[in-house]
Amino acid sequence: MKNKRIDFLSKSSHIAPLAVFRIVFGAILFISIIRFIANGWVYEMYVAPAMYFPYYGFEWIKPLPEPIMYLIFGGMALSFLFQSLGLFYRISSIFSFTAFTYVELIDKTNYLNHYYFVSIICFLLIWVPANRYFSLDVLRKPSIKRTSVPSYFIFIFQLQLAFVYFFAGLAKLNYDWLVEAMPLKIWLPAKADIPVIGSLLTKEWVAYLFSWSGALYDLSIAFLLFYRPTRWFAYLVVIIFHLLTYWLFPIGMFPFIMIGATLIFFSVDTHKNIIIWLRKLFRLAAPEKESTLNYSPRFSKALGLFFTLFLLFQLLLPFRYLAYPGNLYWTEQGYRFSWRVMLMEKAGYAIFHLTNPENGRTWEINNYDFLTANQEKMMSTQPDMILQFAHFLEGHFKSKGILEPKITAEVYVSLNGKPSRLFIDPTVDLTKIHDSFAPKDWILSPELKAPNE
Amino acid sequence: MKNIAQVKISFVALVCCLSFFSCVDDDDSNNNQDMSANQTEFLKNSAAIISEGYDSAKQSSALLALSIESLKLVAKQRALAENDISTVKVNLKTAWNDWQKISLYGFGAAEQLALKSNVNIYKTDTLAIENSIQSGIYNLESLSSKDQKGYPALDYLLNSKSTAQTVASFNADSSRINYLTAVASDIANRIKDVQESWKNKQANFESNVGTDVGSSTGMIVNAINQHYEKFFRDNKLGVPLGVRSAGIARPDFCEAVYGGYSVALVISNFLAFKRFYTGTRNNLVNGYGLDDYLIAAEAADLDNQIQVQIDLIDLKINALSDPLPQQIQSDPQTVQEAYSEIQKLIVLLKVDLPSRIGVLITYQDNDGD
Repeated sequence: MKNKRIDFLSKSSHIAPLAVFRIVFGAILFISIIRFIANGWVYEMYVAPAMYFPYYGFEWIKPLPEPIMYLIFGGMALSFLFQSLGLFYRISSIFSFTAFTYVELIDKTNYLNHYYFVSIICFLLIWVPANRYFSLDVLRKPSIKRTSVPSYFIFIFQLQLAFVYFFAGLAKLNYDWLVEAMPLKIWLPAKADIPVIGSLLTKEWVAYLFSWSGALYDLSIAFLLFYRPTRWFAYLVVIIFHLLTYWLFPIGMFPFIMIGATLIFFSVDTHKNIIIWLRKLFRLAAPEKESTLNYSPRFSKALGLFFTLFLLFQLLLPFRYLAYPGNLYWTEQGYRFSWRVMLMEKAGYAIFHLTNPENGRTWEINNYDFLTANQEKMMSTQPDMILQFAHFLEGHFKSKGILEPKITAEVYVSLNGKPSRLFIDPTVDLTKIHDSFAPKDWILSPELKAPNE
Repeated sequence: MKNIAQVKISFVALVCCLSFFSCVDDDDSNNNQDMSANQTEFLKNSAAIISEGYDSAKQSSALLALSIESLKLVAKQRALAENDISTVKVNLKTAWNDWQKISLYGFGAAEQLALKSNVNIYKTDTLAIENSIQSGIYNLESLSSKDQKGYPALDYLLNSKSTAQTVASFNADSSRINYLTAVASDIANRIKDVQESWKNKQANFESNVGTDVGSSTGMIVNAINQHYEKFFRDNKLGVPLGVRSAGIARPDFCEAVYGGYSVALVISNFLAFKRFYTGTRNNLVNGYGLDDYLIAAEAADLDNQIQVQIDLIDLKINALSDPLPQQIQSDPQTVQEAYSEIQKLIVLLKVDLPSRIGVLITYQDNDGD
């Protein structure tokens, strides 16, 4: 048993898959960042807001002044381009990871599973020598060229992708998704306007077909990609699935990132062919005959252990919701960082009541005075954000001279098209509550009826 | 070689899947266009209602501008009498009332040209208006003058003093009537621009089915919700009452604070909303509205809840009495009750309704996942 494990750590593979992965991932992210800037989202998300919703434990992370934010995004575009080209690889991969993760940590309003995925991949890319083959770094310094790396350097990316799919599939195994075909029953008819299949989307059986095949896809695709005889078929399905989601949902660049990243499941030969094809495309001279150059990391065992722990952590994190009582989709305690992708239709409306005990005056807060539309929308369904906003208001009104403001929130939430319900205890003074990993006992049960019913 | 064989196999499998898709489709092709057909009908009738609204708003604002223009001509020939401005006052009330029929449609050109901010920002800045009149230097084109123009500015110029005093002030200084004319024609031009743009795009609006971002239904539901929340609930009642302004009543923030018909405008704006929701046109025929669409989307229970709440609001706002600024001070309880019922409808409109019909509530586009 032990020997086998050491065998696995010492097994080596051609470096081509890593090089292709670097090229493809870097290029797609380069385009993503340019698109992000061009859409004006740097301003909307990191300059315009009057307040931000940092993650628990990362409250010290703040946005920087506008020109610096643009500089960071510009730098990110450049570093992803460099990563793709394999130029100054170590430095650019460290910058990509740091900058991307920093930006994501500023405001959980903008949390997306695919941003989390990008952060993880950026992190892993720092540790592997993806630039030591078919790169500008090799051109600059031929001595760094390597043709083979420990197999687990490639395996870890495959496994990470497998986790994403499998957990996304696991999350779909719930009553609403399988039996009610929710939320697809709501989302698909919204696209009745698209050509060819538009009218199909308004039919109920199509929602069921998509729900079940979506779950089946997520649960099985990694295995089909790992298994050589089914690989090509699986990749074709990957392309169809992600293009379909791109077409049907406002899902941005994610489909392309996944289509590009899953290439890593292919054999070394396929990757070598891709490189040959790239050489032809860019009219690069064919290299002289290759001699084997092994890359052996200095702390291979330590690195192996580190990756194992990293994956183990990835394996456990999605299950942390089990530590919390209640319906996960309702409370969202342990919801993020778990590959729960496009799983629920949730909408809410929050009315914050502020009382000044000094004169007994009570009034309601205009959320739109402090939050962008998107922030307000996200805040209204997520308890930790509701609490953060209440604390922000507390600080704001204290600075206006109200010494002990009392803040309660009347929040109504609808989950998967069900009638809206009171979401949190409307009598709780949120200024007296502090966020922690402990269960939030001020979240009400979704079975409670709204008071006006 | 092996790879090519696999590609072939997967291609065959794909073709099989697709043909399965199209076979199943044939079985029940009769009821598959249901929701798109409903959307088309909903959009068509909604467009007719919006058109009627724009037509009246354009007509009455043009009439108002015209009557003020002729007032100016009369003033050049002789001193104005009280009689001369009474028609103008009536025309202002009619035009402002008609504005309530379109203010909820803040999408498309109305949004791009910031119609709402250019035409109806209150409270109006009386000091700035007086300064502009005295100096004769003002630029109504710019949005920065938004609290010195629009209907609230006309309200100040025409209704803030007794008719005799108003007439005297116009007779004393011709630059006052010049300003009045400029504001009135600015309103009429802006509404005309938006109305024309709407006419050009009406066919687009009707054919743009679906409920996703960028669809007509998505746009209009978002626009109406935003209007209802900020411009109806808050500006018309919440702020003057103090509920939405730090707990301090600000009766001077009422709409039409000088004309004294704030409640009439509240009722008129809510009627426009109600008519849109129920699909009722000027001829009072109940056509295809959001209510019918909800029923078609198997959300009759929600429609029922909304209709009950609408009736309740109707009751409560009809219990209000003009002039509203006085009622806010003498009988805030009644106003508060109206506010509370208005508030309850927001939850149904902004949470339940979009969730049931798949409208994304956002005024900003972004990636989802």
